[in-house]
Amino acid sequence: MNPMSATPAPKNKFARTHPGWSVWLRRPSVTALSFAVLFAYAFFLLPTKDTAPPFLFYLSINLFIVLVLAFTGNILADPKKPEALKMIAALLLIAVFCWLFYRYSGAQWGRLKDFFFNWETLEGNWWILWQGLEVTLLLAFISGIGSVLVGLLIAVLRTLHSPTLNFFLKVYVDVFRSIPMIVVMVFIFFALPFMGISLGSIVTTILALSLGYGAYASECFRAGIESVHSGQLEAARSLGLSRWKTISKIILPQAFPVVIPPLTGTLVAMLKDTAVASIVAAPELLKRARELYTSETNPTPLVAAALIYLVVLIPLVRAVNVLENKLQKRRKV
Amino acid sequence: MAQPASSQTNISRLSDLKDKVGHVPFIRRNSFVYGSLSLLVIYALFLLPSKGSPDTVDLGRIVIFCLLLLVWAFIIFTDELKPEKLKTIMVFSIFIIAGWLYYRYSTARWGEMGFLFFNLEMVQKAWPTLVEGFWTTLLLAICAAIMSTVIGLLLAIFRSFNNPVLNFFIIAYVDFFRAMPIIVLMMLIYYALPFMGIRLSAIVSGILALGLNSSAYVSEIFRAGFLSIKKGQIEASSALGLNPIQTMRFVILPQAFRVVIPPLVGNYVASAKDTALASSISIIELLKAGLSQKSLLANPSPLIFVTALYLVMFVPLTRFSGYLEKRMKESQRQVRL
Amino acid sequence: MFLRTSSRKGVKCKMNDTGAMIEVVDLHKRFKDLHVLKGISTSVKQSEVVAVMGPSGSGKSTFLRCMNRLEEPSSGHIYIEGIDILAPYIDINRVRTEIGMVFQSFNLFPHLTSIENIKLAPMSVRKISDQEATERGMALLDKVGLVDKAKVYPEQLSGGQQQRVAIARALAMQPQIMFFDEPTSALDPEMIGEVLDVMRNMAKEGMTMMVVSHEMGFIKEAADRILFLVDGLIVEDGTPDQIFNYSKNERTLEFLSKII
Repeated sequence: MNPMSATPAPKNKFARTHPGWSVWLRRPSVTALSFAVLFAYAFFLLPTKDTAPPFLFYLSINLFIVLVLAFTGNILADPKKPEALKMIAALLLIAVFCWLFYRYSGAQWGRLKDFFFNWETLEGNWWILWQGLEVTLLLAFISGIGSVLVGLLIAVLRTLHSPTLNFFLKVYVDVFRSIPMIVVMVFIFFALPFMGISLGSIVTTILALSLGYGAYASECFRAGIESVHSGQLEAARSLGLSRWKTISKIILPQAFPVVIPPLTGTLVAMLKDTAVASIVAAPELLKRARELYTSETNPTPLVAAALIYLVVLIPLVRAVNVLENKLQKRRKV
Repeated sequence: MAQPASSQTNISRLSDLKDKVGHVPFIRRNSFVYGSLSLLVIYALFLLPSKGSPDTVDLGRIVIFCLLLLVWAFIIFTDELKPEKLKTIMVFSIFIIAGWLYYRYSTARWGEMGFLFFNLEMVQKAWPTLVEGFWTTLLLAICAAIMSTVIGLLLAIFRSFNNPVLNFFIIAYVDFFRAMPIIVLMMLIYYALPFMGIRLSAIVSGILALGLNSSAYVSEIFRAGFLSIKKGQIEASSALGLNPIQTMRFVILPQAFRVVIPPLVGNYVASAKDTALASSISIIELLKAGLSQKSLLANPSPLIFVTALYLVMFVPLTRFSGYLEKRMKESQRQVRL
Repeated sequence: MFLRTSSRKGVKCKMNDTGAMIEVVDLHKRFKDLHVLKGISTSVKQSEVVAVMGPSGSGKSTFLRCMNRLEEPSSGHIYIEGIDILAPYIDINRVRTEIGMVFQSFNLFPHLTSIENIKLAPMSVRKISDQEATERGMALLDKVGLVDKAKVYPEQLSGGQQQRVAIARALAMQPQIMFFDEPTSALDPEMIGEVLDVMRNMAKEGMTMMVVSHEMGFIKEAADRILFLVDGLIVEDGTPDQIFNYSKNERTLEFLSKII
């Protein structure tokens, strides 16, 4: 139905009573026109590198970004536009961002090879990074076991429903969920020695991670235990199963699939947080990379360390995603 | 079911029960509690090493003592029939015993404890720096929150268009920033980028790292919010004759809002906690302020104060976001019923 | 509370031999300030089928659940075969093995198949071998007409089938008494019959049963007695014939007029 023709007092009661912005926006002519306007904007209004005053400089770039987003969004949101046009719009959007970054970030691209991917600086030094990675994984492994144990203990103690005990357990969980991990580490490493407790950096890290992530893990376990319906407990008890039989045969098997996804997520977050241990001089990957960066005065080791983190963590992050999606689907069924 | 023979055996089993009703398992008897308690006391009196810093063997004895104590407490705690008063007393006495063991064997100089740890004078000296650090922390948190919301919302909207090219880049972006530890990101931005000619101040680097990291999570939260709206809802509102804007305003947004707000608040709190990482690139935020004042004054009081401040700030925030999430779950359950 | 304060020394089981299978004396249950059971006294003989009726909120379910201590009674005595099961340090799990319970919402264990649901308690409580437990379990499944569903998980069963498996699970412990807590009220109408048939057969075979239910047909046919509960008290106690045809109690008549 043509929106414009409907304006003079319609006999047809189904006709549009307003011009309809969305219909107007979706006309091909509007798309073409707005593209031309954007093009002109890019040519004449975008500042060259350092000429404009800073305020205008940022304003015009940001306005340009907003316009580009609105333009491509308008095309992509229209179900009637052909797929090919949408593809072009998507590519255009990405190209514009790359181009803006290339032009305005002030980066000297010629240096990329020398400073970011200068693998010569790492020749003969790779073993240092590997050693760092080993320490990182070892820290994560031990503190992973530690935090699972702490979490399990807290969750089991909470099922005893003793008010006094619950109060203290809640305080524990609250405290460790509230303080940033780095503060815990710094506190243990820099303040406790004044109290006569001097722990090495490795022990500090393991202790901080186990205690901190133990609190998170306990919440995962608790959610799992609470997800088991109370009727299940009653059925088990009416059959005469003892407390431990009920826990091992009824609660745990049912809680397990609910606990695993968030627990994996917690452990992956913990693996990421091992990088914080570089603050307390634990010789893990980031710390070793920083040492190399200082001695070589070249950031390639930092880049290499970041890449190693990505290679290790991206599959884990994806795995957690998959697990969580599965759980959600199961819940919906 | 109840054939005569089997019901016969049943009855004999019940009378079997009659002999056993008075039976109390050994570890649940009062005599066990008293006996093991006296054994623990004897252990403490004779086997615990004397005061002073312990060597390895002594340390072993202390550790064994602690383990025995905990096992004993666990046995009593798992007994439903022991009175709650006893359990309360036990919790407190375990705290007291732990404190006593610590007092006895640590090498801390107890006389200087007040001077070292709760020295208000030192906190006062450090006060201007700490206040400055506090404002920096706040600035970091707020800027990162705004940045992550804007980027995350845009990512989620463009993700909802389901364009394969864009999706590839958005997923790559989200995975990249979710997998990268924030502290590594900060160091890359602050220490590595200047080599390429991109010079950013410490504060901007910190905001950028926090905001980019957080935006990945925020985009997932918004996406989940969009996805949570069932197709039937949109169909139902078009069946009622609502136009797209009305559908958005009255049907989609209110529902998405309810799903999005709790995790979003949780994410802001987490990202505010992560501002402490900015101390690693020498931004004088709260933690760095405490640390620097600690080394300047050679007294840990500022650090203790900062830790306490983090607690005071974040315990309510964490509780609040936990409360929101719980309420959301409950409302969802009601809907399902 | 009685249980908590009593001394542990010299625990002797209290006997009350009246020859009844279940004897309840002045049973009270309070939830904080809500007084649900206000002194219930009754007794059930061996092989008797007792139906418990009453308006909702009258405490029927609570009464049943107190009898195997899924709810702790606030005061009173419950004797099963003359043993006071509220006595301190009675091993309530051993008592529960003698009392089968069937729930309104089935409460089958969703992570176990039908046969595993049935085998679980005999194997882990009675320590019966896997083979024997399986044989017995299959016999019970045969009895409830579900042999072909042995290896199927509860979520793939219909409500009526789930409830029959739940009955078989309770029977696998060879209990002397069976409690049914509204066993058919969560079922679609066409499935109620199959569950009631199983219960009828059990009644014929001489099982002692207490049934919270409003299935008039079943009660008229199978029940020996009806307990009529109102506000936590037994207001009437008699045979179905007495109650349905000759009751003079106002509350009973009002209730009956509503459900017929």
